[in-house]
Amino acid sequence: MKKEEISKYFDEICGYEKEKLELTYLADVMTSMKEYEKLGARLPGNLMLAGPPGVGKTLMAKCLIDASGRKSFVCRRNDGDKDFIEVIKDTFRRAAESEPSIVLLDDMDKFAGRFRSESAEFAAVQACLDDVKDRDVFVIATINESEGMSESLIRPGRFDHQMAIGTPDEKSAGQIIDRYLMTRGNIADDIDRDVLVQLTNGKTAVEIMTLANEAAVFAGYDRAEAIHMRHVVRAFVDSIGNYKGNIADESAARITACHEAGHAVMSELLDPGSAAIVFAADVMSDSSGFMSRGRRNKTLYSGQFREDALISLAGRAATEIVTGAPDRGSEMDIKTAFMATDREVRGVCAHGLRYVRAYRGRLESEKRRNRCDAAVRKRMMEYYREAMAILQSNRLFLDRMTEELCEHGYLMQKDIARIREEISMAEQGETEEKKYA
Amino acid sequence: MHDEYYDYYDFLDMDEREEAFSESTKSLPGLSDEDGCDDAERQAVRREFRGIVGYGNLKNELVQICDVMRNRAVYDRLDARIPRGLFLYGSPGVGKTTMAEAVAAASGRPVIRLRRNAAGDRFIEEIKDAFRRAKEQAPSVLLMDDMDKFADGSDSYGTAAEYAVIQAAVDELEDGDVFLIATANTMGAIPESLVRQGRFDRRRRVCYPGLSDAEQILKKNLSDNVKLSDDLDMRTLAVMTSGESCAFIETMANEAAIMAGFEGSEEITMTHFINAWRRCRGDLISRELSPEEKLRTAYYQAGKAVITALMAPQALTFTYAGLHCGADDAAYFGSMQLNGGDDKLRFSVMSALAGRAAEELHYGDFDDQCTQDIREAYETILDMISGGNGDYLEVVQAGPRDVSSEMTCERISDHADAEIEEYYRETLQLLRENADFLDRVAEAMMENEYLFAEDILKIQKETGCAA
Repeated sequence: MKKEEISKYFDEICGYEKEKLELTYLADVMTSMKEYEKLGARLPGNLMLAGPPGVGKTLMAKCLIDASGRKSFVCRRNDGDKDFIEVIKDTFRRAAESEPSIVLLDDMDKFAGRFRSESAEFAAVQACLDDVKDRDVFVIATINESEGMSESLIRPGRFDHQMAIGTPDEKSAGQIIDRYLMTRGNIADDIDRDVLVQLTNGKTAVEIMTLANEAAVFAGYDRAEAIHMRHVVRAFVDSIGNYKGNIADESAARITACHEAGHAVMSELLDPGSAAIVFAADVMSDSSGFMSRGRRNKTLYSGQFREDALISLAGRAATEIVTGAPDRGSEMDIKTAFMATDREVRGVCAHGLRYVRAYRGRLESEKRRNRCDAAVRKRMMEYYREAMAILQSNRLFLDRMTEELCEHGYLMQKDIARIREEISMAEQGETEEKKYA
Repeated sequence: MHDEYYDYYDFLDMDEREEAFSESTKSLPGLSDEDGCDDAERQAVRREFRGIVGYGNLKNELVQICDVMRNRAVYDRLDARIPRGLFLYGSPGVGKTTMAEAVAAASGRPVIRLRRNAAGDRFIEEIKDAFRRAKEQAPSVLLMDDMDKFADGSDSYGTAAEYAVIQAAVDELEDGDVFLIATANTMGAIPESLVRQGRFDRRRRVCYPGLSDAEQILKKNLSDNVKLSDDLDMRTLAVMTSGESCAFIETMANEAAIMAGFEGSEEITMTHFINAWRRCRGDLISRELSPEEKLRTAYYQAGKAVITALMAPQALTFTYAGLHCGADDAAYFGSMQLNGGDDKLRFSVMSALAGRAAEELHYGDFDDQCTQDIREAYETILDMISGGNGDYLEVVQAGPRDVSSEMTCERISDHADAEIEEYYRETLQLLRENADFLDRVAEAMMENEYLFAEDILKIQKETGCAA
């Protein structure tokens, strides 16, 4: 079989070009082993696909099985199985009988009741892998996390290929959106592909597909002619929390808008273009509204921790500036800020290596613990004051953002950029007026 | 190419490198290949061990055990009984099972294998059954593979029923002629009483292959009739796999052949091998670095390479800047282990901090790839101080935990904090003095991604930065 023909089997996978190439290559080895034997190569041992739920691991495994043309034997843990170890052994036995074949161990990390590397189930898998070592049986395993798996089970020789499948990158996300949303019946003009790519930062392929479908459902229920941005946003909100409608109490709604505007303003000021959407309505059980940051292919350098802390703290700071008192319900924000500060002070040690967090606590004195802890807290308080100062000097921007959020319920990146532009124009005009006055 | 090179730089003592890394190839007196007793019998045993490449010393010991089993007459004369039990332990993939199987085959006895493929009472029955069969077929060999996986983690180790049953069964064997072989990743999981001498007389650790072992494994895994390109250098490839298991090396050799096949190439080249190496480390599909990130990583790795070249050139092997290791936890900086010595601590702390220092010099800030380094450096310093080394005899830590007072801990913490800041200042200073060298290495790494020891030392010579 030609390589081009093989690659057709993987067309169902959207994006993930490098991963597809790896799979094509495995399929090619399986279908034209003779060519490889000339170079003294044997069939590479087994493939492990690791990644969060919904990124398409099982789909990739299935495509590889189809492309190889081999008979496959799937092993999954069902709670109905009384003796799961027997099921595992039986799967391998049947696969060995009908070699060349493929065994798919789907969600292997769920094989053991609890997440333990020393469980009987993993020991059985390891024993079975060794038993079929000399047979023409290829094994594919999918797992969510390789942490907690025993090192001896996933070593080269047992699993030669280990692929970590992450959430789609910008390009892959674009392709997924193209295939599952842009091709749907009617797409309104206000839908911008780039905006959607930004919006789906950190979402898996399945989540993006669900988002596209939900948007279509909302549009249908609306009896709209086409899918509009507002339908996508509505579906997006549901994917984050549970949309319960606008906040009835007007002053509470204003506080929420102000809080979220604080996040968005800080995000836009420190890293222009990074706030993908900001939303103010009753969404989650413990707080209302959210701000979601878009894809930024930026490395974490030490200044990034400050940025993260400032953006997280900006919500509370904005409320304090406007209403005179900080709001309740920003525990998560503050925790995020504290973690970022902690990584700066005790991780990369930006303010001295003497603050490094030691692995073993037993040699650490009480005094050192106090000193390091105090350093982190002091730093975070400084960031809070800095966040207040930045917002105060951009009060106009903050107020306009709050206004518009109250009015529209949500703002996208383009709106935020527009408001910022208007403010800076107005300020420029003001200074010029002063000059002439 | 390497040998010429080492002659050129005479400070690179080849023997030293070899010794530091490859203890397993040295032979004990009386156990070497040339032990003067190479009769047909011995050769038959050796044939069974052909599959094991390298590991000369350990292999000879295994041959000896087989000899004791096969030539009873010789040993009976000396009243030597067969050693009780062989326990092989070591990291995954170093070839424990292969060795155990070879001993079993060479012993000429029937083999009963026991692996855990059941749980609870059923597995206990299987254990008992295996011992029963071994006894019936005596003289025989009972091979217990991955013994540290025999019990669930739920039982606290040492009290698991599985091990109690094995121990009882081993004791019942006392006079039956059953040779026990067990393999495990660690000894820690297995009760001390089970693996003590008398139950397992010989406990041997199987290490990662040394340099020349790695070279032999590579050669063996490349079929003879395959064309290898001229640029292929086995020594360099062996260096790349330092600290990796035999299974890794085998897999890498196979992947290189497959990569060549996929490309339709007639011969296997260095590029195939480097890509195979990356594939085995799982980073062929990792996120592509932006040029900015790449330069940052290059500086980070260059810092480590420069400090190593200046402080311990014999430890330089190979550096690679294709991955951002803060995010993906895998940029690679190989350096061979050093023999002890006064400068060892200094070097290990400074080379750990060198990545951050290089970033600070060039950028004024640093990203999170240095987090792990700083922790490791701090731990090394803590170990040094609490071990009572140098000026720190007074604060030595010994005996059970919690034994030292708050005041001692305070002094240790204060010393350690001061030490790490001082080492960092020194590292910065050393890099600042050799800024030209650092820039040139980073530059070269941007071009090539890979630099080998000779490339780095060549740059050092050109920039005139002396050790």
